[in-house]
Amino acid sequence: MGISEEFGMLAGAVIAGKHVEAGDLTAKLIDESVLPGEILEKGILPGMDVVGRRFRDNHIFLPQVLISARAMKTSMRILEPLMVPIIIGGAPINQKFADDIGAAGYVRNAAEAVELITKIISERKED
Amino acid sequence: MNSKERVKAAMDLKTPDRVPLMCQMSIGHMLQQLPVSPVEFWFDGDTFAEGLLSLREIYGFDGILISLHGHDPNWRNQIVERGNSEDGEVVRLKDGTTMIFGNDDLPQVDMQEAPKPGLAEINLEDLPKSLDYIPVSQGLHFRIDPRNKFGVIDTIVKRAGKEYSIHGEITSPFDYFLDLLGHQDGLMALIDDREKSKKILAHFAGLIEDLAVEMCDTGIDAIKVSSPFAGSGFISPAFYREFVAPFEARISHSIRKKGVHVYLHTCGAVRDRLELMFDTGASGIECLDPPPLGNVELEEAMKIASKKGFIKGNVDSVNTLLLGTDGDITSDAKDRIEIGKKVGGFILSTACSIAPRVKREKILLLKEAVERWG
Repeated sequence: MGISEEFGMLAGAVIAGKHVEAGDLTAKLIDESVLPGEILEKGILPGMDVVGRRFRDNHIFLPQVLISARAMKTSMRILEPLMVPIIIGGAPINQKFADDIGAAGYVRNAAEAVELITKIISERKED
Repeated sequence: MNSKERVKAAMDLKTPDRVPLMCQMSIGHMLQQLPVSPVEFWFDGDTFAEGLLSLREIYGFDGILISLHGHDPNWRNQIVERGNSEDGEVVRLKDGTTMIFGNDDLPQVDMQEAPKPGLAEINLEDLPKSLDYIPVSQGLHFRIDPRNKFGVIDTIVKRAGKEYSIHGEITSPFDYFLDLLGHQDGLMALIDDREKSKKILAHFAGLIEDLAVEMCDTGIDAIKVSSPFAGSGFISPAFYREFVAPFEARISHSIRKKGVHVYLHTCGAVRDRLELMFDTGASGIECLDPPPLGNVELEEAMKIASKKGFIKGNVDSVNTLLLGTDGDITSDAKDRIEIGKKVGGFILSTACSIAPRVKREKILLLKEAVERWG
């Protein structure tokens, strides 16, 4: 099975509100070294997009939306600890600016960036 | 015709001498209009009854809806502390619940609520064997005192039952179901385990049916079934058919067998399920929110209702009564009266309850309208 087919299956699981299946497919894609952002963008969000349109058009109602949201949350619980945090850096900005815009951190150079990302990921995994 | 006969004629789909007028009022609205303590109005059956009687007289309504029943005559014994806050009077009950009583809304409850059980954790054997509460809103229950289930109804029937149409109120099995599981989990449960959901709904339907049949013996003219979450803002017509209609039908049939009218109150957009609602055997439907709150146009609804049951409602309490001009209100009421009068079986009423801040003189315009054009 190709990756694009697996994304389609994940979207389908979200649309159908099959949360266990959505979780299993997400974990499988991670095992296959697919980036978390790609799983979100190509599997989960297209699924929720269909759900939103169907709800808007009265083809589905609240119970169906809620089980889809539950499936999305199941996938997100797996992805979130692995999502790369947004950090900013460089001479023109500072820690205060990073705090103001809600960035995960401020770094002065590339080496500090790697160090900070590693630290954040390991903290999230511990949580 | 007196008011009682007028409402009865409309509910019997006969022609009354004029279109009857009977609105249900939110607790907040009643508090705004009455010189009462919100705490006493909530807990004390006599104060509640006096308030309903007095507002009927002020507004000239043809009937009275008694939305709560089962007041504990010894309610003061349940209170351990009363104090004040900027949000209103604060009451602490023996069971640890803290309630805050403002003067324009239902009481707010601040309680250490036990987590709601998941569907899988519910043992059907452990469901309540009798109904001792009304699920008024999320987290807010009104306790039914088993020794005084219908005291407030008895008082009002005795004082006004010969002249005015007196209606009791029960809550739909679907509401009890959502209250048991929590609204979000309750809606998902309908998909996760349809059969178990239906067993729980059937259980509550049995208890509500018993309560309703008992209520019929008080001498009331009709019972309203409050079912606010059964509209298309929440569930599809297919789910309505599967999870709401059979259980409300069971209750409707038992009430009708006692010779008492029964009507279903579902808020919001219900246009796609009007026929299903009538198919439950209810003698009428209340609310029928017009756009923008709902999607029911009275003329179309009257055609669907024709010969099946009566309609009570269709005046928008917020956009017309609260925000509209006197001219808007009069013209809205006139339009509805003319449509309703043509077909018969129509009671002019606000769709949902009269909103708290609607001014008294606005409601009096409805009375003028039925007298002039009804």
